[in-house]
Amino acid sequence: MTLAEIREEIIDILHDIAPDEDLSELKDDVDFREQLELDSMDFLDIVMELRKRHRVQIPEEDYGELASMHRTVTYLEPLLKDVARVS
Amino acid sequence: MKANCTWPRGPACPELTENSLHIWCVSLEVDKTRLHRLKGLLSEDELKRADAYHFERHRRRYIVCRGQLRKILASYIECSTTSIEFQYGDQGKPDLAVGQTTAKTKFNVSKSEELALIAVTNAGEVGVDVEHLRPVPDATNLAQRYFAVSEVETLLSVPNSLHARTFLEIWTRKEAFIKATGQGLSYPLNQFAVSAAHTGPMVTVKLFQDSAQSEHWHLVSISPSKDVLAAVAICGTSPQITCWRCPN
Repeated sequence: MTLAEIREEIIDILHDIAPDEDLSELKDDVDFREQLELDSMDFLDIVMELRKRHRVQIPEEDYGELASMHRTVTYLEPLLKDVARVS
Repeated sequence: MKANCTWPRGPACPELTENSLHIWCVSLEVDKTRLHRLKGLLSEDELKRADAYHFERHRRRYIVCRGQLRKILASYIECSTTSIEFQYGDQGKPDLAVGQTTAKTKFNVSKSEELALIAVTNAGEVGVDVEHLRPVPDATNLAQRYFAVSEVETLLSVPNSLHARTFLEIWTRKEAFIKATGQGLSYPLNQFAVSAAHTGPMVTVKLFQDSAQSEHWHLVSISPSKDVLAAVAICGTSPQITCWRCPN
């Protein structure tokens, strides 16, 4: 997956968590929690969904790497580089 | 979702004794005039944070919660609402800045939809979590991935009609605990277990890596209204808890 595809995938997961929200203007460099009312359970849902969709295991000590879109995409890029996005 | 808190209205000048723990229930639904007044209490940093929210209702809830937090804390530490300063732990847990108070006043905040709970105490580090009762479609998977074995067993033993409630009861207890530690989700959720809901509002916590520490922790389930579940965790002396509704 390319960086752009990973970003699309994260937006897709966020849509599952907040289905009625328009996320088109989400800022990549600002923490998710500072833009959206995501709580810890939502955050674990994101981690679970990544595991379900792509078998990516994210250890607890790396959760901070998923704070913003930019950091998430950067963190996932090496883990998903050989994975094709299924739309 | 509206906040229908059943707790009595709180006093204007609350007093904390050594082991008291006060829980304030705050409605985040306010009219424009009230919102404007509360916004006027926020610092530059808080206003910037409010502006970063993507959705208007999230921004409003943040402003109301933060403004009310300032008012509540000011009533305890005898300073003006606008002069309160915060500092933040490694995982973002807010605290009163050093020098703000001579007492060891600690607080913690949790929001769910249009309701917030604010816990204030001098008894020790505190964490609070509140959740509206709702379906949790992924509850079993979440529990099996993150909860301790005994908690998963509890969840799987209840009938379907109690599944979401039981999950959220365990969740609020665990979330209150990791918030109190200041470690948040970096504290592995399967490294401690909370007691099951049917044992009553007083909850025990078992820390697998440091069992001697377990006895210093006190967890209590609370409920501001019938469709809202919450828990508060405190490390220190056994607290005397008082719950109040924040006047709007």
